[in-house]
Amino acid sequence: MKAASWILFILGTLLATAAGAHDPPMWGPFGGGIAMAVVGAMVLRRELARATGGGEDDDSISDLPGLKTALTDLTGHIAGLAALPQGQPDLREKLEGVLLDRLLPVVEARTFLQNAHGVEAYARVFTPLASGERCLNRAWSALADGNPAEAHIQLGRARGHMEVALKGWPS
Amino acid sequence: MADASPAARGTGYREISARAIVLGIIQGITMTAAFTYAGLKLGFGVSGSSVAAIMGLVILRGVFRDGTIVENNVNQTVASGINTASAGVVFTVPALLLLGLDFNPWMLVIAAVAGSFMGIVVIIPLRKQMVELDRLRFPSGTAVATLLKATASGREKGILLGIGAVSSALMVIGLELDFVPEEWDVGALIGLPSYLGVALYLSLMNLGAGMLSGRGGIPFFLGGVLAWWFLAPVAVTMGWIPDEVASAGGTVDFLYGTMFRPLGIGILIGGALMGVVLAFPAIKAALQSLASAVKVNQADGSSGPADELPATVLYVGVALSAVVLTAVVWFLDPSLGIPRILTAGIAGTLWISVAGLIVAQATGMTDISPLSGLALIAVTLLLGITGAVGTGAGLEDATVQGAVVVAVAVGVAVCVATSQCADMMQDLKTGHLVGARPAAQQVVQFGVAWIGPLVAIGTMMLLWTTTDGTPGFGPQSTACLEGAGDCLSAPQAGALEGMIRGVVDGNAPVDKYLAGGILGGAVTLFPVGGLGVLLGLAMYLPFSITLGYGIGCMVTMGLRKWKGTRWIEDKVVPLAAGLIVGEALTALIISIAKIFGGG
Repeated sequence: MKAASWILFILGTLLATAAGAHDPPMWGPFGGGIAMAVVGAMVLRRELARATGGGEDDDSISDLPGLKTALTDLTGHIAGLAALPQGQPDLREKLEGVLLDRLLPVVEARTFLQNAHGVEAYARVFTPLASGERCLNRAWSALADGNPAEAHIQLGRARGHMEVALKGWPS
Repeated sequence: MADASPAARGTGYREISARAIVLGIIQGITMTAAFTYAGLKLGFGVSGSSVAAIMGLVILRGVFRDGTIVENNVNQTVASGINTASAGVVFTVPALLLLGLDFNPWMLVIAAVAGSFMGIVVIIPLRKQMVELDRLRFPSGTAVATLLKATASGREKGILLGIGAVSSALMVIGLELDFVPEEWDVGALIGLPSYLGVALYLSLMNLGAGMLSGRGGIPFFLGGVLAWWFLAPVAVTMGWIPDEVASAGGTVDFLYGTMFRPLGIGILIGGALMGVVLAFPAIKAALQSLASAVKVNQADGSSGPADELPATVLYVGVALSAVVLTAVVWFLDPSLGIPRILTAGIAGTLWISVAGLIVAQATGMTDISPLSGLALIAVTLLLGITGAVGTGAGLEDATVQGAVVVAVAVGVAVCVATSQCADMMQDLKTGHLVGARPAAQQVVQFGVAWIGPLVAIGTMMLLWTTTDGTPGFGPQSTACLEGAGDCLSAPQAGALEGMIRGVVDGNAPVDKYLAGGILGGAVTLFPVGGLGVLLGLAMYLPFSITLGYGIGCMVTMGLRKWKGTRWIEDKVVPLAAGLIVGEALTALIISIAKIFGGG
């Protein structure tokens, strides 16, 4: 079914593009191509919504439950950073580790949530997550600029945003 | 000026400062003049963000020694927020001069300033959607963030950034000195027909943008493949190219100008509109989160100002822009009558919103802004509203002339708004990556948005005419007539002038726009974000650009598979950022050298 939808979409797009580019457009074949492309795309959307797994490339998170576990884990790590005493000497390296090894895989696997629960549920989780990410980035900048007090405040804010993201996870 | 944030005051972490704003304004004005000149002479514009970020590193961190990363981000936001108007102006305003029409330049300045503000307000919800939810790459924005963080990111990243920048600079210098051709015609080398378009645009900035986009940019490359490797052979073998065109060697121009480009513009528009429909629930949730973001900020007790501007700014800004544009239309041609004046003002404003959305998506996914195409649609739309299309009266008729001036004025607003929108989105992406407050960036951009249009239009008028009213360096000048080096031919505006003449004579490719719009809407239903916009953009651009960009995407995809995501972030991102930064910086230096060297 999935392969057939792909073929339908591609053939429809090719037909509609060729008919539309003709001078003047050939509206009959164009309409046929559009219909094929729309049906192919809609079936593929439905197929994707059913699937909850199937990781891509080297992404470490391969399904929706894995994404939630990773988000929980990320929130825990940020809480851990926020709880460290202000002025911890290797905080920037630790923060970099969280950004690249914990946050990046969650971001790379975001489509699992969007495909399974739709864009509204996705926005409820990833809007606060993105705000938290920005706070982490500000904490990194503040540490690079020699301002641990600002970094400490931002880590606390990041933790708050991540908790909101976790609460927004669809039940 | 001190940072307004109590939290920041408490920790002394400087973001908005007088020195960052002043430095940004000085650089912005200089770059606006330089890029206005470059745009009039060569037809291209470059973002000033990376250049400003380098100057910020030198002055704020090198001279003052206590500049912060987010403070330098404000400096580059201000500089590029001013400089970005030059692209919008050189694409549009000279068309009126080329057509030989009388107009009030102050009305164009007002239209451009209204567009500049409108460009900032429409991105308030788009930032949420495209930076935070769609997580688009915004290659130039990512490059500038890499640059801002360079001094603290370690030696290896700094070296990679430097290698990229030097390579790119050498390539630009090679092009300038004619050691390197602008395009490498690979197809001719291996005996392929020219209509397959197998040529490489030799820009390392383009390659770098592709490298930063990676897998996300592949649909853009496939759009070029669809046009040039599927559609072009089909059109040639099916005999769709008129014989007289083919025998005169005009096959490629016909394919691009008559078939791909108008269809591509339609696909862009249809794709962007369908994208809004599909993402509407997410946009709604994102707008709701603008309010809740304040509450979360305050949850830890450090009650700072909101990080986000409220949605009210969007609604008020759009309403004010509509009023100003309507007033400009009324002032330029009161004979149009109230219904047409109102329709023109409102349609112009609505089109700015749609165009802002399109350009934000396009720059987010590819780094390329289809400014001229969007201005072209605006002018066509306005010529239709003002009743100048296909009347048979021609451009000698005073009524048609008035309508053309109105259409170009709204086109100026659209072009400046979209360039502002593209720049602000890139700046907000940079801000996200360095942890800046979006509201701080938007507020400073509001403060300086009026400067760019004034400087760009002023520079253009000064360059075009001499003080005694005779042509200076414009196409009717002695310099151009004699083919001298200081001739300013305004190639982009020349294309707009040709289009206006065609539309007035009733030759707008409306059927192609319509077919493209339907097709763009249909392909956007496919579950890959922004497919319609990417396909449309690829058909709108020459394949030499798409091909080089696609190679960059594939390089990153291969390396990602081989080395992993973290390796890409550590090694490829700084190198690609260097490629972007090096070209922008060298192009600016060359432009300034030409101004002082007299072309």
